[in-house]
Amino acid sequence: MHIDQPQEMPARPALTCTDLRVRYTGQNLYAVGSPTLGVSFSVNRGELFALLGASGCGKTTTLRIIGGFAEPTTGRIEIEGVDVTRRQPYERPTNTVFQSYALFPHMRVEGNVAYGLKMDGVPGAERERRVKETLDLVGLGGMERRRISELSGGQQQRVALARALVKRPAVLLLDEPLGALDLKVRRQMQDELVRIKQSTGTTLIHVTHDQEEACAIADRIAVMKDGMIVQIDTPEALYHTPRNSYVAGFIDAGTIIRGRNSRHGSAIEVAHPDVQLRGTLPFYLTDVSAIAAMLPRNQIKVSSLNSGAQDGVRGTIERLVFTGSIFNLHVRVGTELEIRAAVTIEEAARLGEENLRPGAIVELHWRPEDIVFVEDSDAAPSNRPRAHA
Amino acid sequence: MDEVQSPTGGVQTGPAGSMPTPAIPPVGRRLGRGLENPLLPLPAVLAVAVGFFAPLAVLIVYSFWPTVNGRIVHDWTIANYLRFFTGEAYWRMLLRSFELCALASALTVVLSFPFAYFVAAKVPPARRLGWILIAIIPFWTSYLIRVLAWLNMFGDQGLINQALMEMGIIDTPLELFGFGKPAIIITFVYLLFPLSFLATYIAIERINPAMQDAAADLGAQPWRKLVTITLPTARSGIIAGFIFAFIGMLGDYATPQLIGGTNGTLYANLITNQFGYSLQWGFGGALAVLFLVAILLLVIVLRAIVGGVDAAGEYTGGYTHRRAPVLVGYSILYLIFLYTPPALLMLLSFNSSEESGLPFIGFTTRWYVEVLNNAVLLDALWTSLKVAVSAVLISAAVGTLAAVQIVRVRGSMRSFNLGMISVPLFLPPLVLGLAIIVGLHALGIQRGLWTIIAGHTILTLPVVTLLILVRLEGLDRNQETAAMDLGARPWRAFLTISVPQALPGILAGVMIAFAISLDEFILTFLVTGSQQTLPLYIFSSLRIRVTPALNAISALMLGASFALLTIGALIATGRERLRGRARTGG
Repeated sequence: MHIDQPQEMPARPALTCTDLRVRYTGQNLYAVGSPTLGVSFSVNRGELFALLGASGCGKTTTLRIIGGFAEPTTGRIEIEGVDVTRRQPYERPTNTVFQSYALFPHMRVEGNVAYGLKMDGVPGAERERRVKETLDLVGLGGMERRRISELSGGQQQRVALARALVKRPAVLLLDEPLGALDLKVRRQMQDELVRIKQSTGTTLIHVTHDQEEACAIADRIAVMKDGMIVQIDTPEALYHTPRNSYVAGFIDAGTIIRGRNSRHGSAIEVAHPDVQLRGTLPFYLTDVSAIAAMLPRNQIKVSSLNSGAQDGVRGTIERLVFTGSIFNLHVRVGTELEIRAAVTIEEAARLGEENLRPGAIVELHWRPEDIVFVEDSDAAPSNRPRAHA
Repeated sequence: MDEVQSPTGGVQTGPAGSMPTPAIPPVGRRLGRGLENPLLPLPAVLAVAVGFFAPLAVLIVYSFWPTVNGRIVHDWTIANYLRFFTGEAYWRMLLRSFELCALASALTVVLSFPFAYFVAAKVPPARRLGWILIAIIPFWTSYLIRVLAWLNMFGDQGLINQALMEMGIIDTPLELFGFGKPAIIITFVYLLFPLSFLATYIAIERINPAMQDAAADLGAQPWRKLVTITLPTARSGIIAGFIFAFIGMLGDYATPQLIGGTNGTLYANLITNQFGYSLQWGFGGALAVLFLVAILLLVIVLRAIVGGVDAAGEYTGGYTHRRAPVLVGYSILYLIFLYTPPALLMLLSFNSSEESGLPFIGFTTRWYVEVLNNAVLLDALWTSLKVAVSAVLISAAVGTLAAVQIVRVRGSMRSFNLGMISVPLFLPPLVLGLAIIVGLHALGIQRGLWTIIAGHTILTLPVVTLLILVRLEGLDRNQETAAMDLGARPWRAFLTISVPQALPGILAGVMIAFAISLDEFILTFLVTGSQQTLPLYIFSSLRIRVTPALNAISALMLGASFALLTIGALIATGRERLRGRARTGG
């Protein structure tokens, strides 16, 4: 289990979760945590923290515990240093943007946004001012009198955001709020979230299964699997030093290659029938028995056969995907290995069209220091060190 | 491939099917013709039109004709209506009935709300069906017998007063539990509870649970959440429950009189009296028309106050377990209230005392033996069975034909057919009964067994049709398309693919319709000739006094309809339940 490195942290984090576990009654399965270990993490003030994982990994349950909608079997939640574990949702300084928005259809936009302030007994004039201010902030100024049914998906999303933001929560919880939006609106809302975070200083926890979205907006990401946090890091760190093959695969940083391990001190070789990868094992993996290698997509040099480069791995281009800024290449090496490489437009121009087409044979090169060694989590699924081999 | 895709595409999007496709002929239309034939719902629609709307028109015409010496005279006049508005006793009676029914209905709605809320919001989805069945099965058991169960409870010698005196809480019988207005209201709350429960339950279950979470998240305490979110979003369902209960009670001329004696003479009695010994057909017609107008006005006014229905979101099935000890306690108490009278009735049927009531002297099965040897009663049962089997067979056949077509089309024809077939569900059987006797009178036709069968057919038709329709709607239409792709003609595809899957719905519809027909009293009493069905027999015996033998018949009938309904409901929902389990388990 990775413990978060305390960087220049403010005196007190906005949110601290300690040893959270959720076990449903009558079941032996843990939705969050495991019998031996609970989920623990802390979120700094003003940070956008993402909980990332496939569906069923426990990320939404974790969020619901923070919001007070589910009770943890064990553990403790502190917000601004105050224990809120046993508090009801309406007694917590958190507010949530729900996945389905959960807007109140019998109220207009302003009614929805003012609802929380009314519950707090904020006087009318002040309430109106804050509703207007918040609607302006999310770009819905002038829409106060609209009915919910008259709004587009993106607009409803903004109302849900405004409704939660207007209460100035200590922690704003976002439960896959962008999932229902189309790609363009989603990108727009991602920028909006970052802008709102910066202008209001709100602490945000964002649950998502979309690794691109998490990387695009989060300051730090917690990758979850089977109710456990596998790794907490900045998006860059997740790309460069994924903790294990699950994280590397989920982040989609490159090609994971498994093979027979052989070690000499800190030197390691992962031998796949079609390719051998040698390098230096990082200190934190010395106790791990099964190691896989990851070839980062953007660290692979692709050259044509007649380029004169030495010691490359030869392969056939199977597929070529143009994403707008780069080409993603699927290169078949040997019989069963497919290596993915990213080629910039400039590199592509240098390679020439005749070398960059399905069926063309190319050479792939990488430096030993670019190989990322990770724990092979499929070989050790419990994510716990095995007994010595 | 086009042939396969177009039938469903054309059907489901309606107008899209008629989009110009010059090169390819409209194959979709040709392929679907067998099952989309607009003539299929015709028998059902005609049954309602001929059996209900035509007589209703006659009733309206009659209301403008005077009665001279017990004979209707074809001479246009508004004298019947003038008589109502100038005779203070008449409109006072209408007001009094409205007041009593409104009070009882409001009480029903208020009392059933916590229970409905509990089942819809606090019970895990997999277990809800059980609760619903327990709550609504009494509704489908014999109406008269439930009244009889309460007859045992009320009065100076009634079980409630006896028990209270026995326990030393009171010395003399309380008037509250005598045969009066309070007794009528209590009985109606009891009788109508399942209706308002169901309406409220459906409305609450449709509320997206995330909305409740959102309100709590924004700082709303539980009671404010109830007032600001739950009640406003469920209000149309709550009002529907009120209206159903209100109409059901207002059209009942038997219960208030049985329970309340002279106190229980309500507007419905006033109407039926005109067609009985008074023989004031024209005036009776006017009273019935005013009755319908008053109900219509009430519905319109309530709708206007409540406003339109907000889209409260699709049913999400989302659920978070939370304890609710108070609600659990309340719900259990309500179930006790619901089941105690029939349970006591069953108990009393084994009492060897000559009088119905406590004390319990000794155990005997002699009342059951007596019942089974009663020739008049067995004759009545035989009549009831003949009526039920005929009516249900007709409505099942006609209703299935209609459902098959209605499920396949969209647009105004669908709405029209569905509306026509559903009408008898929303109007009191009293009006249907009156319309039928007036219609027969106008044509000079004698009443008989067949009039009862016709009336029951019209009453059960919407139930059967809607239950089958719901089943068919739930099926994936692509399965039939796939069958046609594999070479089955439309009817063949329907019979081999959809019917087997819809069979539980058809069976459940048939069983529930059977139970309704077996228990029907309000309409039967009006349209019968000299025939006596079981409920009519019970009613005529009840008017004299409650006997142990009556308790025994009732216990038998309760047992029978209970079994019938439970089996029907279980068949209808068996698959759903399995699916529900799989969903929550995953």
